[in-house]
Amino acid sequence: MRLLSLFSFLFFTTFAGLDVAAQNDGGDALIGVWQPSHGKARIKVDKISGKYYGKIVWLREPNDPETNEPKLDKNNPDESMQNVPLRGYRMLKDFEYVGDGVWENGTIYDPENGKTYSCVIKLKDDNTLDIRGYIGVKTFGRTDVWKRLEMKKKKK
Amino acid sequence: MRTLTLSLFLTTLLIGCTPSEQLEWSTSAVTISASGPLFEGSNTGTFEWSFDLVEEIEGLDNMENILEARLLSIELYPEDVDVLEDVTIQLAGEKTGMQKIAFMNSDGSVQVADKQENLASFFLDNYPTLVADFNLLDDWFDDYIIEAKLVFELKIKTN
Repeated sequence: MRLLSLFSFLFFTTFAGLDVAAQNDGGDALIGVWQPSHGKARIKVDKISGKYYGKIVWLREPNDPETNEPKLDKNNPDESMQNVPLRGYRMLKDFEYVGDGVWENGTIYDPENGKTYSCVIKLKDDNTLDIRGYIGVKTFGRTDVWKRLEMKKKKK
Repeated sequence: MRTLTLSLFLTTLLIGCTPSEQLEWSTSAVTISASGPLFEGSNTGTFEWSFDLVEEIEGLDNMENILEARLLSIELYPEDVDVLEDVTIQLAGEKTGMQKIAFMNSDGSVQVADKQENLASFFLDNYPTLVADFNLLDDWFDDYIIEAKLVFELKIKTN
């Protein structure tokens, strides 16, 4: 009886562990630095409390040409937060991995107009994402292709 | 759409009719830390919260009796202000969407977000996390620590 319990325990922990690890591994493929097709920004995705978030870590034009000061989130609908700089801004929020290289239930913020859209992310290959922002239903939206930023290898 | 409107109306009415009390809850100092070394530019520090307000607040029998929550004020004590450009404070959790609640400028002034969704779900979350996104003016070769004290306004259900 004790042996049976031990086997059950080992079976459960081994396969349950594998299942969780597989899910984590799949979801964590989103972690990294990505560049949208316009090339004007780079977004670093990390994991907090089991969900995925992306923040702007680089801007091609970091300063506002009018003020020559760092660009701010001046289109934020909350006026009290319009002084927040765009560098470091969380534009991807609350993504959950649902399997098969898809992250859902998140939002994407467009600093150009201060609007937040529902969003789904699909991993096309290891270094390419389809980012689809939409309002209401996924049919009505726009997809952008993001590329993973790869570190240049040193020449030997 | 009509059903949704009716549901919202009834929920509002239900909450409105529930006997409740409004109070302020001040946190003890919490330590938000980012593992170093850190580089110039954007970095992130987190603090995974664990609290039991039932022990702290008289009259609160159950965490689920927190009906509404809102950040009233926050004090931030960064480890080294000379290297710090700005800090954005957010709340996040397993069941709570990330929400920006405050911002500290380079001059040290702190602004609490005017528009806040109801933060009650944050207090019920399994992994409530305080997230600080901060920009550094220079590289920092150690962990970076920001201490924070927060004051929330809570509306709790009373019997």
